Amino acid sequence: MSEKIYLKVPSEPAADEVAIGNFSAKLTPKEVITVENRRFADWLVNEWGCAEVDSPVGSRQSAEGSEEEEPKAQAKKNGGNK
Amino acid sequence: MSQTAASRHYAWAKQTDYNTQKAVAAGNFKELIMMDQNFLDYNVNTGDDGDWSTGANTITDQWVESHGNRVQHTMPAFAQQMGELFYMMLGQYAVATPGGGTLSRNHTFKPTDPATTRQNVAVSYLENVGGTGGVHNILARGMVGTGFSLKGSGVSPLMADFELAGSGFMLTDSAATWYPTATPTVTRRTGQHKLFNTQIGVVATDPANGNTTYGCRYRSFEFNYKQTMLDEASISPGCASFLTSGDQTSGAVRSSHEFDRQSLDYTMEVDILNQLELVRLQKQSPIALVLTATGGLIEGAIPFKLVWTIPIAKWTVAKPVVSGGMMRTTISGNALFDFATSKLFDIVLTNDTTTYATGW
Repeated sequence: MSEKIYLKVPSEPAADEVAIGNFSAKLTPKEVITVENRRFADWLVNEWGCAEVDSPVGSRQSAEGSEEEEPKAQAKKNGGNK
Repeated sequence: MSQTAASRHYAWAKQTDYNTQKAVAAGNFKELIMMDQNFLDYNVNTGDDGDWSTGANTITDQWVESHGNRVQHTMPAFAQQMGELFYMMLGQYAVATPGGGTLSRNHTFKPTDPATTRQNVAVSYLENVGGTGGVHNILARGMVGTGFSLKGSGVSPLMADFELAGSGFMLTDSAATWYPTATPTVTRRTGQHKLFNTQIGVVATDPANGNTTYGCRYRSFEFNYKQTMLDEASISPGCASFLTSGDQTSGAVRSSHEFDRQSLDYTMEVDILNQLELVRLQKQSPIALVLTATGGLIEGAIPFKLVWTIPIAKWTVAKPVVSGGMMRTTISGNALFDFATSKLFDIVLTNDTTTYATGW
């Protein structure tokens, strides 16, 4: 069974929907999306500012125990409005 | 009834993965408007026993080993149809709504990052002569892009030449239906907006000389994106992919078709003005090259638009030529990968298509 990876979309994503090869995802602000391919997940994190979370609900606690801030769009400007 | 060139039809539909053909169902395919009269090149690769010690002085047996197919087309630069071409050729995509827009969308395409995947989107492709029930009805599955050229010259529409390479799987009796059959398999295109060579602007910028806006000096361009493909690896014996499922004697077809290297080269022709292009060539100046085609309005102040940005372009040729009775400069060059922006180039296409990730 493929691993399920949960990613939280930033509050201000730089695009409405993204795709690479046969993988695609809608970036609804602050939603948690589920993907099953690790490389696709890494692309969403690195390119579109998504943050990996432990489960479909809530976000992962940091090592210091404080809640993470909601991820802002740290994506490159490649796909956003110009 | 006679069939003429006007009887030819083409269509395609995006597959969810390389091996799953798009179902032949109402509205599942979109018409392709092409300028050429090409059709699929299909070949059957065979083996024979001609060199074996059969005791006969000739071939006594011949068998099917694999199938292959490829097609080249030229499409006019319809701002909407072109997005499908860019999506399957380039593979990395994002869509966003521009400020002030409701119908408009900015679609950004760039070459797939091979760190994520080397398998670009495949399409199921239809060819037809004579409409529903006509004399030529083929469906080819697993067609991927090997490259395309976007070009413009004179006062004509822009156009894109491209090539699709298939898995080899092909149906010769597709049940796809076409207009004017009710609820056809293939949806017709309407409201397509053409972009013209007369709407082009080109700007080249290098650190030493700043911007060169070619303006009225601009004459023509051709940008060529190519992907070499992992052809040999794509027919994997262990995958047991055959034209007829489970039947080795029907011949093998590809089970994937990944790309290897990616490259972009370009050519432009501009009226000669000075030696700047020769200086840029000799010094190998890194040039940011931006080509823009601005069409008519979609809504408000938002036009149909194509912006092709090459962050790092270097010239390989810059020489005077006599063209159209005038002295011009022809410029050729390559694009280099820009680590700062993580791209070889990108294309931003602004139109009224909601998304290219689905719907075709």
